[in-house]
Amino acid sequence: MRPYVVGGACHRVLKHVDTALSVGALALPTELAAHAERCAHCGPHLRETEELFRRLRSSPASIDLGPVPGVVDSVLQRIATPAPPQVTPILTDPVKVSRKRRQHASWVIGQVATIAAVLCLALGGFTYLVLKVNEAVSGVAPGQVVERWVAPLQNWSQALFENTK
Amino acid sequence: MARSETERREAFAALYSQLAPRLYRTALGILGNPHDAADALQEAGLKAYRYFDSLQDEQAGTSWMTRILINACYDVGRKRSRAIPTGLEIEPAVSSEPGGMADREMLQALQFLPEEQRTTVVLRFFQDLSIPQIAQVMGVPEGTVKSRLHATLAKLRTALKYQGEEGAQ
Repeated sequence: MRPYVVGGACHRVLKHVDTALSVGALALPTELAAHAERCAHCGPHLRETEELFRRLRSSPASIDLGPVPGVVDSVLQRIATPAPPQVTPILTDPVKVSRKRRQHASWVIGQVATIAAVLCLALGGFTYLVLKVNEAVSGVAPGQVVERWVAPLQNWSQALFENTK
Repeated sequence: MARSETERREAFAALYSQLAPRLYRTALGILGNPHDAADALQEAGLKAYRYFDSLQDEQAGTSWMTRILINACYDVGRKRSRAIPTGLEIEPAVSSEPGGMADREMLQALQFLPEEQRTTVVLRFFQDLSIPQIAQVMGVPEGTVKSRLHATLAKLRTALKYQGEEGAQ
């Protein structure tokens, strides 16, 4: 068996076979075909590819077309008869749609009312706190403010200490 | 100019009747059994008629119908894959003439390929479409068609070689 040479006849035959697989058609120059016929390297590749193409091309011709006229007739009959009036799907029933919309609207209103209530409570609490702080610090020296806030705690801890003693 | 309903129906009937054998062969190549192929051909026909007005260029009718048929085949194939197997296999519709057996093997070998690879080979050999036409029908670049064809034909060549060797033993 002769060695495989890159760029030689075998190489060119295999390149043609490779291209043939990409395009689905084999066109081999006569001199290469003659080489491949007697070559043990590339001959089998070429013959397998030719056999595959032959079988693929002959397959459609051997298909039994028996069912085709029946299918064609049935389709042509169906398109010849006028289409029945469209049945209104249940989801597009106007009554159901309006009920669905009402449910959706009430859900949105509920959400908005909840958020508004939470905001009102937060705003009221914040206002109360600010007023208390303002009342505590107005007209009093800074040191006294602390004393006034701490005094109850001091009294409570003293009472606790005495009781423990 | 708008066509009357009768003209529209006649134009569609002419196109569909002319293409039906070719489309059926394509459907059989993709789906592998005659009942599914007939279902796909029927589905494709009804869908094509519904959207027949969208076909502007009558010359593009073959590509347009083929595209619809391929989608119908994929739908039928998906439905079939969800069906519960009964164990009753349907024989592929091939003639009993010499060479019929080899073609049955070919149809069976095609069924083992991925959907898109199978479609590419079927369009090339069963419909005899060129690479640019296949690219247009499948909505992919020509390079993709070529690489799919190469991969698929290489697989088929190997599969049929082994089948032949097993048959010889």
